[in-house]
Amino acid sequence: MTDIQTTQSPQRYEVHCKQCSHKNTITFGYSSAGWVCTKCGNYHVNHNGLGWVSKHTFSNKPMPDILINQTAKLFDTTYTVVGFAKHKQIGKVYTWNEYILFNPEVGLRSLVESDGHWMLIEPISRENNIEYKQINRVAILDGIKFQMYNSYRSTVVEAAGEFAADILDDKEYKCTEWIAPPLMLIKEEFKDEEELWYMAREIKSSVIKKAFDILVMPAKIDIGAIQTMSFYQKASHLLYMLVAYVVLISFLYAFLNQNNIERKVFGQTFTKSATDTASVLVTPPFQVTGDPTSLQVDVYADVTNNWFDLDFELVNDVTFQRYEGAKSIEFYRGYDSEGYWSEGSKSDYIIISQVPAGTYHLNLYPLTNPSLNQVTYTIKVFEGVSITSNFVWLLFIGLLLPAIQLLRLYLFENKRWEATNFSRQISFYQT
Amino acid sequence: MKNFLNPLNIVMASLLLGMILLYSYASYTGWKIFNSDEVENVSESKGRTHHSGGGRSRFYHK
Repeated sequence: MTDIQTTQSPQRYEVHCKQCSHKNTITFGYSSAGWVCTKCGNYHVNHNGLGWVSKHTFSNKPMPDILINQTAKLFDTTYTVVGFAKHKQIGKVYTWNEYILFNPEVGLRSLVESDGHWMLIEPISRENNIEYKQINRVAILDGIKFQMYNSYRSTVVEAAGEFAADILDDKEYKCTEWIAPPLMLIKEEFKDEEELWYMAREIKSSVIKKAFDILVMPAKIDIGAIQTMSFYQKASHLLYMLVAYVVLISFLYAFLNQNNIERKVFGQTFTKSATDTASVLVTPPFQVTGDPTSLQVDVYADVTNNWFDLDFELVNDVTFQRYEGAKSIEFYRGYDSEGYWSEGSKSDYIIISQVPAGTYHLNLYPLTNPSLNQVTYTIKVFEGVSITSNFVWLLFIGLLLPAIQLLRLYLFENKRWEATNFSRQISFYQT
Repeated sequence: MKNFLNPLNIVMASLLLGMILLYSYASYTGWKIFNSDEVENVSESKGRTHHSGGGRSRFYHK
């Protein structure tokens, strides 16, 4: 029995297991570095193109999510799955799954699943363009800053299919990863030989699920190394917008306040006595000139340890348009074991929005404690008053959205970096 | 500012710009946007110049 036989087109190769003699079909023939028997899990390595040598026996467990020879279209390229390896970090319990994908035009790619997070890895030949800063562990490629995220050695604990390199030589590799989500720069150092560089990019699990028709996807655990946040916005962009908003609205507030002309249109002091039976008091008419404008009605009542309520109507003398309002004044004071105390105030004000120009009067309905002989109160009306609450509320609401996004990003990045022993070199707002 | 013009940034910048325009409009028209004061525009009942007096509950105050 020969070690390899050519089969039908597209060209496939038949190989026989050294352990169980089972007939296997492989894609690359002697271009493969090794293959695993589908029946017994025996791993064979290429013996200088002269034959296959049994090297190891894997457990031959069923593959987790994707099968050998399954095809799928990713980023407009159709791939066939030719190999699978479950890796384990040496000295740690962490494992991840790697699927070897093949397309005749683009060659081999790796699809890696780690804790439910997926990425597609392809080799790059740009090592000469990679600027690496040892001091702060930052690698720069094409102007993108990648932060060192992980460095490890791994071994293969399960495998299926065929491989372009001997998977049991993994112990000899040192792998270093830099991230700039959704990208990852990977360097593999093999003894004293040249370094191999790869670029990985995140693939959403929904894309994998659809492409490979997987019913139940592996559950996502924590934040992936190059996972992007949903509704992601760059922190620097958020900060630009936040600062621009604060500056613009503050400038507008200062400008409008400086040019605002506040004018007193009415002011009068009244006295309500206990014998006064009239329930309504009608003020003389006054002119409102702004069109429209805000009116501020100031109420002052000279009450101590008592209360005063004022209901009023602002009535347009021509159109009879009315605005009803109410204000309650209460002021209490006294002495106790801790000394003087006071509560409430003798004055308050009320804002009436968007009052058209015209002649107006006020109908006043004062009420006070019937035990009071009399109470003196003053009503003043101003037009064109500045409404500070508009500025405060809009400033707060405007800040809320970017602030929430920044907080989300901060917590997301913190969670990402909790999974590694390396510290973040670039602050989250520079990402 | 590279890549600033993405959909989420455009939406957020538009919202913020909208709030600045809202603030300008409110300032020029004397509109108190979040009005917690007890004021009611009752323009639909024209011609009424008297009412029976509100705030009766205040008779039972303290």
